[in-house]
Amino acid sequence: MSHKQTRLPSLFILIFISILMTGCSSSQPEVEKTDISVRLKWLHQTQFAGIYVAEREGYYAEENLNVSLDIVDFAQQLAHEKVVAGENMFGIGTPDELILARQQGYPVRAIAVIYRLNPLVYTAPGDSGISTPQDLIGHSIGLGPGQGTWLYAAMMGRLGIDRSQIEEIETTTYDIYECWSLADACVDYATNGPVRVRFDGGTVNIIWPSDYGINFYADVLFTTDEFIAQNPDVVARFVRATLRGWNKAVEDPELGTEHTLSFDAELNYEAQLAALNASIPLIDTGQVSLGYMEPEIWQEMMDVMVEQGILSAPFDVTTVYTNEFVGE
Amino acid sequence: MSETSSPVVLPPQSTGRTWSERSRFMQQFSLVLLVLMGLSFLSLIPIYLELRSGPVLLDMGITLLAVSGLLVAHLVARQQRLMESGYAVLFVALLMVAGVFVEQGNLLLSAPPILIGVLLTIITIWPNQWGRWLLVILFYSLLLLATQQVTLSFSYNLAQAESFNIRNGVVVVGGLSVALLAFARSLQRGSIRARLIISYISLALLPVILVGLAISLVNVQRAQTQIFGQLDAIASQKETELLTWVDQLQRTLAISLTARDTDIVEQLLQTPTGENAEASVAQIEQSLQNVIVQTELFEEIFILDLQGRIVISTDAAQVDKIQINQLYFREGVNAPYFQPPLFTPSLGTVSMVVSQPLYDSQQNKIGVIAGRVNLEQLTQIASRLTGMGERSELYFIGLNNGLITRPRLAESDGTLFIRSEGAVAAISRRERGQGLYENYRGVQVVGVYKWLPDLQMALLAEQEVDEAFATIRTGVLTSVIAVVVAAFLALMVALYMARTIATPVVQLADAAKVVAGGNLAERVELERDDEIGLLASAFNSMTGQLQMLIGGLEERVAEQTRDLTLAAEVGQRIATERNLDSLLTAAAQLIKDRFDLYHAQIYLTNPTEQLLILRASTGEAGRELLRRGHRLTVGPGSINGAAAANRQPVIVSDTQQDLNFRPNPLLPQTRSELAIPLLVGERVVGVLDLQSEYPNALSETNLSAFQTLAGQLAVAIENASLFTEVENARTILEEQSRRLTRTSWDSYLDAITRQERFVASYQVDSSTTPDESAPQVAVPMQVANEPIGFIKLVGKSADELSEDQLALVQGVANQVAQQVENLRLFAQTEQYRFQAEQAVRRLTREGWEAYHASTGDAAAGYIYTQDQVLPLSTAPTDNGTNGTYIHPLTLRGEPIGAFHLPSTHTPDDSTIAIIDAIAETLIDHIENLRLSEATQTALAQTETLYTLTSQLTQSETLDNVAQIIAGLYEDSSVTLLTIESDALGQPEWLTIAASWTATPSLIDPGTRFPLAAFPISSLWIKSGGKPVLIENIETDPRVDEQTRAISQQFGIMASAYLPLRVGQSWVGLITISWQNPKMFSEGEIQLIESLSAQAAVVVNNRLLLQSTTKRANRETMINTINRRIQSATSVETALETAAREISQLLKARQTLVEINPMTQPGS
Repeated sequence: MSHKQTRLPSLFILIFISILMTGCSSSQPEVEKTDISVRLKWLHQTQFAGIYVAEREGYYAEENLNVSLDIVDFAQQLAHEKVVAGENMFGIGTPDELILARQQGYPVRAIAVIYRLNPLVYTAPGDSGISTPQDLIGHSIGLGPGQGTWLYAAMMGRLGIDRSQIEEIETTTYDIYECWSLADACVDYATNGPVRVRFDGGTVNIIWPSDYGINFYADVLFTTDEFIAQNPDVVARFVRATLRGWNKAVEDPELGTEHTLSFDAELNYEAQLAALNASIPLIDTGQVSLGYMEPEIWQEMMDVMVEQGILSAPFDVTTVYTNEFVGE
Repeated sequence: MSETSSPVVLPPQSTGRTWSERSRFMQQFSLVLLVLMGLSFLSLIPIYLELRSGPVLLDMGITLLAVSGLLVAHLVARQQRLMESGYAVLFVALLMVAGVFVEQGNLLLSAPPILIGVLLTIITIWPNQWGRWLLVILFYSLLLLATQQVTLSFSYNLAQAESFNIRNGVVVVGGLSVALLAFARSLQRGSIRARLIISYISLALLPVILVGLAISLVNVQRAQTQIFGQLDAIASQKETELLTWVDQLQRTLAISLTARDTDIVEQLLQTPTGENAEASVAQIEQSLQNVIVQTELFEEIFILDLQGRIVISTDAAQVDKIQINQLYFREGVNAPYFQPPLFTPSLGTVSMVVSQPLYDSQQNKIGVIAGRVNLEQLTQIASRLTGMGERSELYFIGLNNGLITRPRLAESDGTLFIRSEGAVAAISRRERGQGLYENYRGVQVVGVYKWLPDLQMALLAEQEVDEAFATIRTGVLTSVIAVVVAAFLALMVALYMARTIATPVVQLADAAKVVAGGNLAERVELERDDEIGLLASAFNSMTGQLQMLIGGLEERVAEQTRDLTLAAEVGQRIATERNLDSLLTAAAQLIKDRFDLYHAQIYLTNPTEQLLILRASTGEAGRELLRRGHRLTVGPGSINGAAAANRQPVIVSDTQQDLNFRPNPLLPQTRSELAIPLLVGERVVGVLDLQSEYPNALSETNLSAFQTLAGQLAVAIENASLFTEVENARTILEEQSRRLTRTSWDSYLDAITRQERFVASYQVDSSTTPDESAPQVAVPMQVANEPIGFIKLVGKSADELSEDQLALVQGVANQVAQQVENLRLFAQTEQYRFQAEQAVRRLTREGWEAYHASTGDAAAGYIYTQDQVLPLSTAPTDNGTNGTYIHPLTLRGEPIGAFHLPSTHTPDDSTIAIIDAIAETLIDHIENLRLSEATQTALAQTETLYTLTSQLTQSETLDNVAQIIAGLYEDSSVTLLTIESDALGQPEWLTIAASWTATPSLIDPGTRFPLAAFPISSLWIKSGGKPVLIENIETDPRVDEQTRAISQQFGIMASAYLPLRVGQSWVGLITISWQNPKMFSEGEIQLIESLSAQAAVVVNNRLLLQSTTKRANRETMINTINRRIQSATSVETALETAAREISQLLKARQTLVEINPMTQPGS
């Protein structure tokens, strides 16, 4: 090449390399990941789809979190015990659990709500004619121990319906058909029995407590005050990634189900997907963004618990939750 | 590259760029592409680092392959393999198209460079093949278009990478820089045509492009503003519409119950289970239903009590539900509230609720009246778009990023969650704004987004970018078209201007090249009015003049060459002639004929070189001149004479203009003449005379040719003369030789055998005597054609012998003659040798005797005793007696000395042998020494002589001469006398001319003596001019008494008399005298003899000079006197002058001049 040509390419290479240098400097440095562990409320299922999505889609990784998920410890099913004990940093629990725990001195705090609408419902076969609580008068209802029962009591109380006119049968089964064989109506999870019935081609009437003034949150994310105080940004990152995962799961239930199955391959895809689809309206009500907890609802929940005698005495319910990590 | 490079086959060239020019272009072009491709490759690296996907690697691989392809193209182009280089570049272009497939880049960016590159390549490798160009461009264009249609799975969207911009920037900057550089270079270094075209195009394009760009940019800006403004307006309008609608809903609710209905409701709320409760409920329900039907705004209207319980509802299933925790109740119990879309599980739908407090007639709050709104209405509001294009839509999004209204341009089942940039900005950040982003359908849109706080919803109005900027696109397209058209027009104009300006310039340049290459007939055909036309006509005229000039020169050169060739030819012809006369005649004729002359003749000089004798002359006139024996004198009197005298050619170019020309009546037509002297060395042997009837036909121009001829002629003449001489000499020699042979034989016969003849005979029968009468054949035996004898065959006659037999006898005779001659020569040689030997011996003896004599008192010999060598004073006298062994020393048979060995007995043979050997060596050596001495002496003498001679010849006066001679001998006196001879040439008077004496001379120079005063003169007169040397005046018998007495008187003991003779006349005498007796050696004698000869000449010259000078002076004087006398104007004056002058001259006291006719001289 002529001597005149050599200047041009070398000049260009020089210029270009300098540009390249500046451009390359924007690559991110390696950041240390924080290890956190989450105690799930139950076994792996699409109930926790958002978390699986957040893990598999790398949202936790993007927040530099190394998340490990623990399923329920049947020896100690109360997640808050685990969290307070320090075994897990985060847990999934119900607001009434947390209120009670708080009252007992556990420094637990809810940081985001997942299930805005409680899936706990009262079901009756579609042809039973029972579609309102009033319809229950003169019929029987199968109730299990725990939340289903005192929610029922609260609902009936709100409505002013005489419970004595309804036969309350104690049931322990979660099989809806089995329950229906025992009573006219049964307590169930909207994501469970009704899904199955519809799957089988049947019809089911559902009585939603939320239609009758009983608006309880279901799954909430919680951690301890201590953890919040010491690692507020870890909490923020965790909440952000989890909510992002839940948003994704709500948008794309198939993906949520896939990722759920990646944690437990023996689950039934169809069933899990159906359950998730049924859950989505309870999670995303369209009213507020995911995670935000309405103070009125917390207050209402505490009031109901006090009213029903679950809680001995009211206290400042704002100590049980915080919206600082969910924005708005 | 291949090891065997095939020879470059150049295609036939038409006009345009040469093969090497195009190869060089490909070289540079491929290099530039190489650099750009390299940059492109490098810029892919950050993209790979960002995306880390396989297709990027593939892209890099393709780019790398392209780089190598371009490298190949470059290297191959350097080897002048143009076609291979072009194909390589085309292959690289294919690779680039593949790259576009992989990159899914913007076709607008990637297509032009590829197409331009391909175009440049094919223009270079297939010049003027329009069809091929079209086909190839079409091919590549189709391929490029296909990249847009076909999406490979193994591809990636380059634009996704953030580093994409770097790449773009680098490549664009690189490309632009290259283009600029090429542009600048071509402006600087391209041909005129290229520069003109580029200048024109850029002049035309630059403003158009700039203006177009500016306008486009402005337009784009305005259009964007306009679009956003439009969208914003629509959004605002929709917002207002929505708010109005909500307002309407509220108002409808407000008036849905009449006052009476309200009363009923009040009552129902107080006592829900009162009488007529059912009927009242039904009635209210009916009213509400009517409102629904009439207004078509609500799906359901219901009334809640202050505890949140649905008391009345147009949807019976909702009655008795408790909605105390619902926002629409909690808020609506205080003020009119619009609840954003809410999913109600029991209803299984998303719905909005409008609620407001219900007041009784006393404005007491009794409950909440709410209406559930059909979302469809919202969709209708959203979709009632006016003033927006087909590809635009407006929609509402809830807090969960879920689409509330049904999308216009997309099919969806289920909720669509929108997380586009606008949605995120509106929902998450509660912002309002606008931007260009990708919407939920993945399409680039211009969007306006607004957060509606009252409704807890976001409003998004979007228009697809393609549609939005359609007008801009049109505008830009228009600009581009304008630019292209402008470029095209500019190109046309440029081409035209290039043609009118550059083409003629190129024409001129080509013509100049042709002329410079040697073809002077080249002319440029350009008829123009401008400066180029001027240039062209000037060029033509210059070339024409050059042509004439050179043509003329060439003509002259041709003429001269022809002349020279002719001269050479003539020279060759005449050189072969041996006979002088025939040579001259032939030469003259040849010259006249070949050079087309009127007349030619050759003169030769006579031996004294004073006359020119005509020896050859052409034609009738020539014959006549020869018959007359025409001759000229060497000198200025004639042209030829002058030529011979001056040794220079004489040219008369035009006889009529030459005043000195004297025409020869026999040659009346002569108009120009050339006379060339024929020179051999410095000698003039003749003159060549050439005459032409045309003036200026013979001139300086053809002189050189004729001079060559003259030279050859002179040489030929000389050769012929020499040849003749040689011939003569040879003949004489031959004659001599024959005579010699004859004489030799005669003497031989005489000398050896005293017989007149030899005879040897052989006869078959020896008994009989030779019969004289029998027939006989005599065959002569000859030596050098001189018969010395014969072979006689007796008994045979000549005709009885055959040719062969005669030849045989002749051969034998020759052989015998030869052998006899050889024998004779040998015998003669022997005789000569003997005589020579004798002579040498005599010389040796004489030499030694002389040597011995000259050494004088040198030792006669040497005696050796046991301890020393002593010289002998006298020669030993004993002759072999007393036991002395005498061994003579002989040289060539002559005794020159002897060893004397005193001993008691005769030495034995071996001793003698030893002595012999020693003697031989001694003799040889002393002979050598003697000869060497003699040589040296002779050499010294010669040197002396030489020195003397040169001194003599340089001597200016006679005194000098005497001085020089005196210088020979230290103590000598030299006298130089001049001799005046009598009428018989015998010396009569002696005058002392010069002397150089050691002692003051007693005799004055100029003294004149008669010869009788020197009786010694008889000696040197008798000697005939040889010097007379008297070694001892006392004892030399030749000296007469008188002389002896004088010599004694002057103290002279030895003297030499050197007579100086020149020819037969006596010039003078040199006497040299010494105070002591002197011995003259042989060498000295010779020296003196030579000296006298030299001195004679010198003195003679001096005397002549003196006399000549005297005479000249006298003449001058006489002339002066004559002149003076002649200047006298009267007789008296003349006489006076004469008397005065003569008296002054002769220094006479008185001079008388008399005019008397009667007076006799002498009285």
